[in-house]
Amino acid sequence: MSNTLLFVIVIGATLMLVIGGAVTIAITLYRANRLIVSEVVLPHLEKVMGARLPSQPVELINRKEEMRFTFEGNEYSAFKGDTIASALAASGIKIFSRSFKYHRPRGLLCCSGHCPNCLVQIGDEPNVRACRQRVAPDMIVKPQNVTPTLMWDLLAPIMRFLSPFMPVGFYYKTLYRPKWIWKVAEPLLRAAGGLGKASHSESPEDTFDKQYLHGDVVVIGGGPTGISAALSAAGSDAKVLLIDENDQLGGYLRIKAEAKDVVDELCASVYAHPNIQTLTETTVTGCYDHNWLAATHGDRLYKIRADKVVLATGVVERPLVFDNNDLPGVMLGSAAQYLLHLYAVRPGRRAVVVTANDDGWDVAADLHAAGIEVVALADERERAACSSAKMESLEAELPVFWRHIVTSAHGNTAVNAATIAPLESDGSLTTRRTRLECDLLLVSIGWTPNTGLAYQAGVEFGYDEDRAELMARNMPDDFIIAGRAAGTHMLEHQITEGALAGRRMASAAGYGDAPTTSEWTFVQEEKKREVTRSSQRTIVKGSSKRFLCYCEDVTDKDLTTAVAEGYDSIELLKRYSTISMGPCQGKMCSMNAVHLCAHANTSTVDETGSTTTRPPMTPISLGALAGQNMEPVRITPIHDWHLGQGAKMMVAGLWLRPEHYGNPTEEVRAVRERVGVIDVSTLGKYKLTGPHVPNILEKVYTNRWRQLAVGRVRYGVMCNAEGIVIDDGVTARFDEREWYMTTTSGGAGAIYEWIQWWMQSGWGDGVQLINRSDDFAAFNLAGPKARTLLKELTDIQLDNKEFPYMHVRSGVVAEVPCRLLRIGFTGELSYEIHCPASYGQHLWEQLLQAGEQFGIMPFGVEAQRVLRLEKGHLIIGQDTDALSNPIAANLEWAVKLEKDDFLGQRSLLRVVENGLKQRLIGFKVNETGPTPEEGLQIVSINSNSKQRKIIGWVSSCRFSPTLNQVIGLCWLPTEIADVDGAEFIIWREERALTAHVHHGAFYDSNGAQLRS
Amino acid sequence: MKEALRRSPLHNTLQDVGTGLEVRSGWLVATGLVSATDAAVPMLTIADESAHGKLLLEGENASDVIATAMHLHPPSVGLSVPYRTGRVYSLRPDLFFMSTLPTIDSEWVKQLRATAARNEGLVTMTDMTDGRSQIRVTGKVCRQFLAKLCALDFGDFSFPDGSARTTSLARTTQLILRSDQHDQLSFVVVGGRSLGAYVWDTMVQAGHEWTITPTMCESD
Amino acid sequence: MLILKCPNCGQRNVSEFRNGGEYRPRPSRPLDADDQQWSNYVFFRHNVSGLQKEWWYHRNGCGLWFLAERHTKTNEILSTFRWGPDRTE
Repeated sequence: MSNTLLFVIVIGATLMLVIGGAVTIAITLYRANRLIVSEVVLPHLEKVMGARLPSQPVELINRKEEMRFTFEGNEYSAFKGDTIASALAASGIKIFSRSFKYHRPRGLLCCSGHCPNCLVQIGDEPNVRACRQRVAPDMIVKPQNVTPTLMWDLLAPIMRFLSPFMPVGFYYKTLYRPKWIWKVAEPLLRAAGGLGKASHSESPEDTFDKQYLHGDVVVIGGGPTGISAALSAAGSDAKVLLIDENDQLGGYLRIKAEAKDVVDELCASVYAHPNIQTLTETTVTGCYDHNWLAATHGDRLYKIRADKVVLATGVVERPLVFDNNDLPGVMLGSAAQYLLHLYAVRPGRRAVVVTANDDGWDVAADLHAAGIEVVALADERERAACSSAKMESLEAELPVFWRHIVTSAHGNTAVNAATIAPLESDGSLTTRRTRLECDLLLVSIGWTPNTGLAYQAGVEFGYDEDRAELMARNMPDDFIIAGRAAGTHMLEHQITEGALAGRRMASAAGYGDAPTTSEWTFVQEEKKREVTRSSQRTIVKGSSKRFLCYCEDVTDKDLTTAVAEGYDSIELLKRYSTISMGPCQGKMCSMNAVHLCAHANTSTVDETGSTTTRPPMTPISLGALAGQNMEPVRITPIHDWHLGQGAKMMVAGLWLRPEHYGNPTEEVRAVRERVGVIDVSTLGKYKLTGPHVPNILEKVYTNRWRQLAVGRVRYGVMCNAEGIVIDDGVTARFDEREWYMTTTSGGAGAIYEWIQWWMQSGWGDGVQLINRSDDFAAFNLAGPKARTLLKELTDIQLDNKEFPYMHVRSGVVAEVPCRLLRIGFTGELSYEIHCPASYGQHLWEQLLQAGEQFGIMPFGVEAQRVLRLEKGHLIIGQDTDALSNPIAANLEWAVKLEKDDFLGQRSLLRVVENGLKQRLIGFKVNETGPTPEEGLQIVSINSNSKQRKIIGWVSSCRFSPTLNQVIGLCWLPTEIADVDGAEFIIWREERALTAHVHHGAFYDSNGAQLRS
Repeated sequence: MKEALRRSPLHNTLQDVGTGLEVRSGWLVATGLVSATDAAVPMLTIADESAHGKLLLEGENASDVIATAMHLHPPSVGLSVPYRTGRVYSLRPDLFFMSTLPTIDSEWVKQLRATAARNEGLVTMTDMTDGRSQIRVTGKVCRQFLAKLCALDFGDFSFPDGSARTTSLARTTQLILRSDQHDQLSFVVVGGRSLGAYVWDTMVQAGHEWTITPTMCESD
Repeated sequence: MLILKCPNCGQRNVSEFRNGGEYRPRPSRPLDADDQQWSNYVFFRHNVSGLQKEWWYHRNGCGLWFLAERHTKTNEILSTFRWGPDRTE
């Protein structure tokens, strides 16, 4: 007995084991097989057989012209007219990118340039939208942000593992202790996340430029509404610009075969109309003050001044948020239509269509007509709410699930099934689920108006709860929205509304009469009677990841967590979660985010508001923003002579000036010992004419001018109301009523504006000020031999008695009419010769030729710096700054506080009363060694603590070849500066350099050379 | 002593384009450039007119001086009237710009200066010939070309033939005159001499897409 | 880009102009002004959030200094006009 029982038990157990094992193996094999079929076999089949459909009535491709291109190293073929996305989709490619954070596979979603899923790199240009970029022969296309390939991205499983540790804003909450951890983590995170790679090459292949355009009425959007608006505005005689981002007009009608003739006719009217200029492949990226529009067209940026604007930019389809909604193969209904109609590409073989409007029925009908199996059409609505013309015929052809919604997509790297669920009467999910095998899941549940530009123009929007759409609340006088962007979904209403909008804006611009209020209101009322096109539903709760933001990988859980953490306003939510901050700039996600935020706060969408849309509306290259390189450069009349001499040129403001001609020390010596000549044509030069010139001079200068005789020139200092030095120069009186003012090179424009301001606000009577800076070349001939040289070239009496220091003369030098100013910046006998600029080259050459026998040398800015420093002369802006008053800057002698009111007087009186704290003074360095650099700090060192305190700074410093030591000018506390010989410390490269105060000029302190 | 010759701010630029140099009316000019009226010349040409005379008449009573000395009805602001070899443009109610061919009739200039000096108001005359670069562009794509450098509306209504506007062009201040020649659309750009070479280079770069061609100055 | 109407040249892009700051007239007799009055003039601006009278200079144009009344919040420019001796604050 026990043996039999044992036998039975053993056999039974074995059988159970065997059967169980077999069943397990079978199930595993079945699952594996399904996975293999959907993940490997089908995609391979698609790639081998291709997903191209036979000719479609409105297709854009030219099947006669084929070309090859590479993607991820593999070669693909394309027809002329294909975009990269359509060509790849036609070859069965489903994965186009890896997501920003989690590296999840992503496929085509919108096919209209609004989402980030198809961003690729072409050559050195990153972030190109594959669905908008047409294929060119031999294009080399690469995916972005993949490690190492699209199909096998190693970061994907790693990120999946790490994702619980990387919730929204994780980088705010982690990785800050220990201190070194962020330094390590940041580069890793940046390498893992991100988009394309920017090129660091110096010379880009593209050339960029800009162009200005003008229009009385600018219509943005070339669909039926825009075309209608353009035609009607042009009909009122306004100059119209019609702008569309596609390469043909027609908007959403382009995919409707039945509308082809209508579209062709409309386009023909537009192109034939002389008042309409059409710009295609042009995207308006921003609307600025007074309807200043920026629009990109390839590498060109248009800057458009629009008097009035009609916005007819249409709508963007809104994604639904449900489990795994980001799987490749899940796309918007309109995306499938673009692929199908425009590029004859089959988006999939077995489709589930989920909809909440009549548009979804068009999608299903299009698929069905193309021979694609529509496994199910799930409509969120009741049958009674549907008014699609295709309803009855489709109901007979394919399974329709009324009052159903999708709850999840299934698959690994591509969708292989979808689950739908019936809805309760209140809209909530029931517990029943139906799983449908498919390789394409299309969602058509609503539309977001493309109104970013309207926000920028100051239009305010409110949310219409019934229609689940944003509607404009108020529009400024110069900006109007029409068409689908204004909630008008029926073609006949779009055409009417567009025409009225066009007429209204043309009339506002001064052309024709405006439509009556009743005409306008009628259309608005008709609109409200249209069937709704958008569902209230945005999120279907589930158990996996559900993505609102495809750009930044933000899930609905991320957002609800953020709200719970206190980031409960939409502005905070956006910044904390980064939603809507990616390439799509909110086009895919902002409405859904607003809904979520409203729901989380138990508030309404209207109350929640939305964030401000800012330009650019679509990605724009920095090159387009830069345009053609336009950097103004000013050159003197003898610029080319300097270059010919091998001068080392330097940039001084907008000017190019010679710094030296090879040996600045020799140049200094030449001036001190023989004669040199420098090009100072950069000086500001003004002509002042009139009986009251002395009045204005007395006001703007700190010193006296009324008694200056004809033939005299005087140095002057200018201050602003604060008593701060703003400029200096010499002004000469050439005639009773004609004066000649010079300013620093840098001040030429600014001081002209400054004096004009005072003249035009009350002090201009009897004075005229004309800027003649460019009219004259100016050369300063300096050195002991200057007079002797000049005598060779002119009959003007030059002896010291005839032509003393600080005098001016007019006459002919080297056949050229000139003005000579005997002034002395360099401290030598010098004549500053001003001649009409066109004669500059001739005069300069004559001076050099005549000077050859005297050993003349041209000298540059560097030598001049040294020469003037040897005389202790300051340079405004070099030795002074925005806190320097003339008393402290050693120009006390030029300030006549006792004279009548002048600019700066009142403040300077205070300065004098308060006493000076700092002063500009000369110095010499005690030790031999390196020359202290300008800008170094002067310090006092506490003998006990060794702590350093900054007490001044070095403003000018050079080695003087004339004195054979280092000299300079510096700012010091008055108690030190006032003591000749007092020592102080310059802090240089961690060492103390001792220097001492020097009063007066370093060279020729009594000015004997100057006055010789 | 060597004869004192004048040079345009574009002298060195054109020296590279032309084939030689010669003296004309006291100016050293580049030769060997295509003639502007040559039929083979493409749709956009550029020429250096910097040697042309440029006079500024300024003052509240400037229009009186013009009426007296030149026997002209002064033009309204932004417009011009012909005078002798050139035109008189009104830039402001108190500012007039006179453009003439290179050899300014010195007698006429003296007379103008004297009339200005005699006026009881303050009216001055300044010769800006040497201080300005003057560049002429001609051709049917002038408007599109200038639109790459300047935001003004160059259409017939906003900028009729004979009008003058001071504005920003290539980020510099320029006086733009519309001065159609031989039924061809043509504009003249006048600005500070020191910026002349930069403006020319920038124009040549912007005009590349229409094969902009340097030509001889029309009046030479 | 704002449009500004120059009293000489008409409507031009604001980039042709330089803003010269809030209009504040200089005390006619600075030497008589006390320290408070003078430092108010030199250093302080009303900086209103509302209508402001301000200077503009047509730098890339006719060279005219003129005044504008602009709303500092909305950037609406109500008027532009030449300075005149009778225009006091």
